[in-house]
Amino acid sequence: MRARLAPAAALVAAVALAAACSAGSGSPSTGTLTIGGAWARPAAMGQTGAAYLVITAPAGATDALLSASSPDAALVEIHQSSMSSDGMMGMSPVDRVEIPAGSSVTFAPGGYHLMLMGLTRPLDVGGKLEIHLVFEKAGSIVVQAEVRQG
Amino acid sequence: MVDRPAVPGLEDESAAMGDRALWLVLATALACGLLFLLAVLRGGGPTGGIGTASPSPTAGSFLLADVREAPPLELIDPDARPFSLASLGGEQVLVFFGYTHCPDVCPATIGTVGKVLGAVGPRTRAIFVTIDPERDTTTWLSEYRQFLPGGFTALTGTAAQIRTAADAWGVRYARVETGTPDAYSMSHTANVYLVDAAGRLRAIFPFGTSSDAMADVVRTVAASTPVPAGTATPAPSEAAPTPMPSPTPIPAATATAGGLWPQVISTSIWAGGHSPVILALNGESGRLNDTSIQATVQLWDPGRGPVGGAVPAIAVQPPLVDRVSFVATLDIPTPGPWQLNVTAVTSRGTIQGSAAITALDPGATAALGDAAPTVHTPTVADVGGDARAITTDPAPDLRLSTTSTTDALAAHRPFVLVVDSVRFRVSPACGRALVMARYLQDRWSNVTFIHLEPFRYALISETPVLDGDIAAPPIGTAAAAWGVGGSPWGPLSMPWIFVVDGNGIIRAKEQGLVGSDDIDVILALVATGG
Repeated sequence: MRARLAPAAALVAAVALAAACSAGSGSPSTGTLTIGGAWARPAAMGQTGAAYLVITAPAGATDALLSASSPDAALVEIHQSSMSSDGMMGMSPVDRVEIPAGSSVTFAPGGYHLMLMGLTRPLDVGGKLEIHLVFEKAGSIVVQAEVRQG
Repeated sequence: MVDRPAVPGLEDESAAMGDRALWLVLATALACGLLFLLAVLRGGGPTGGIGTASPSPTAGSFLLADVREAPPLELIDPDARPFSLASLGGEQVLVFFGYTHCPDVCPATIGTVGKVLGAVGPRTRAIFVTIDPERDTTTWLSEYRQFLPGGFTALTGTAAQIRTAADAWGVRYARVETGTPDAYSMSHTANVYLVDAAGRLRAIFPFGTSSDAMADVVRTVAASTPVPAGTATPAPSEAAPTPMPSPTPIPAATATAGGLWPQVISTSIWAGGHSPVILALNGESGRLNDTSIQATVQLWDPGRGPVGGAVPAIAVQPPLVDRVSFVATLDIPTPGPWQLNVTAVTSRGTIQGSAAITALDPGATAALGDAAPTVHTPTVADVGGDARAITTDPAPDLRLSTTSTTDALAAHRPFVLVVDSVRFRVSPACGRALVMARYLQDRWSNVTFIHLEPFRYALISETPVLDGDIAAPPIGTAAAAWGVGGSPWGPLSMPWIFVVDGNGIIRAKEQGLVGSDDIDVILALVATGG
């Protein structure tokens, strides 16, 4: 599909429809990186939890998520779950997640997630979890993830 | 462009996309690429998962053509009681192998299975088998199980037992080192297995199967499986009220006859009297969060019969908590295994069920129901403002060190005493009780939270140095007055938590890993004068 698109046409479409792209992600954008739909699973103190979100980059400004942290976890790592050819589910740390200009990357169960290691308090349904995200260009962004069942 | 193919039916809607007009979808897709098109077209459905796009599978694709007896699961539950699949005779079971430190795949699957249990009714249960017995001990699983949906049983065993069970089920797993000790992860197959009421393996669901698809298969299998003779029971909703203790004890592992599945929340249950036992009551459609339920608990000796009379279980709903717990204060004569037979009168009728418990030996620790020891726990003011003399927490919350237990007793103010050490970690649970106290004290403005270091130490060059050997740490005066560190628990049993009411009476006592549910529920009970 993309291969059939002339590069110039793609550029025009990307610029002209940047607003539509952002609106479609559920996070209104005014030319800056936006984070939407952040949530985390309930978890016990000391347990390993996971948080999910959607990151949308504005048109013309590719960015990359470099790291994450939380005051309520000893360590937060960017991970990606994947299935190997023999059917084993595993996960591996990811150094950076590129957010292409004018596009969204979704962190969701079975794929990208923020792994919350060593939770220093329980995550109860209805509560919030503060997450600090560090981006290559946008710098530090703080989001409040809602704690809920998937 | 990030390549993120979709899984049909994967449970989750973390990035629910609103309905958009088709032109917007198409135009947006041009700008945002193929991934985005997929995400929008999936609407509120699955996002960002693993696998390849394919049509939604039908029930038939999960069913096994070759129906055979399910492999054995001879393991132990979080209360260290032996478990076998045969004990669930007459019920369907969904079986999943995973590990509790798994943040993503396992909780997603457990959540899906939980939805299935809620959708198909009471005659289906679920089993979570750990493939990480090193970390998923019975102690940890008894803490973790509060995060499992109702109807789940968690199982563990020795490394060899787990490997044997996994091999029999065709489950593969391997440890993956991350470079940090204790922070390893596991890679594993993540199928869900369906065992029918006759104990036969009937279906296998790959990771990402939706709860709707799974529930369809569960119903299909249920409808085509004759219930084995001798295990048929009336549907719980139709069960008439029956007299409480039957002549023979209800089997400990499950309560299938009465429509009630009590779940023990308390992490520490004590022999010797006045032990509050916190229960979650689960009915056919999940946890009964109804404070109007009248519940009673009969203590039962599994070998003999009832002990004492039935006692009321008081409904408790802590502030800001949406779950209702029931607390029965029991006089349990001796340490060891006991059974609780629970009767609940609901607006729909009377239901019954049982739960197994293990009563702990309180040893010399300050007794439940007794007045709190009057020893003075040191405060920051006692040591001239240098908190390091009374807490080894490198970043102490001074609110925990401002009031002594004697101050709280004099003021008739409820308090929670946390005997824990951040620096002298004699158990993996050390430091966690203190973290919980910091968190809980914000919820309970009328309760004083007090930290007490268990061990004697001195500040040498501004560093806390233990006054002895960490293998046999010396108990401090105040901690000794509360009886911690003595027989049979010993000084390595930290942390301990004591909850004392406004009358100075010890109402609850917890050892080791403690869930905040425990403390919340007890404080809610104490706060209402119960």
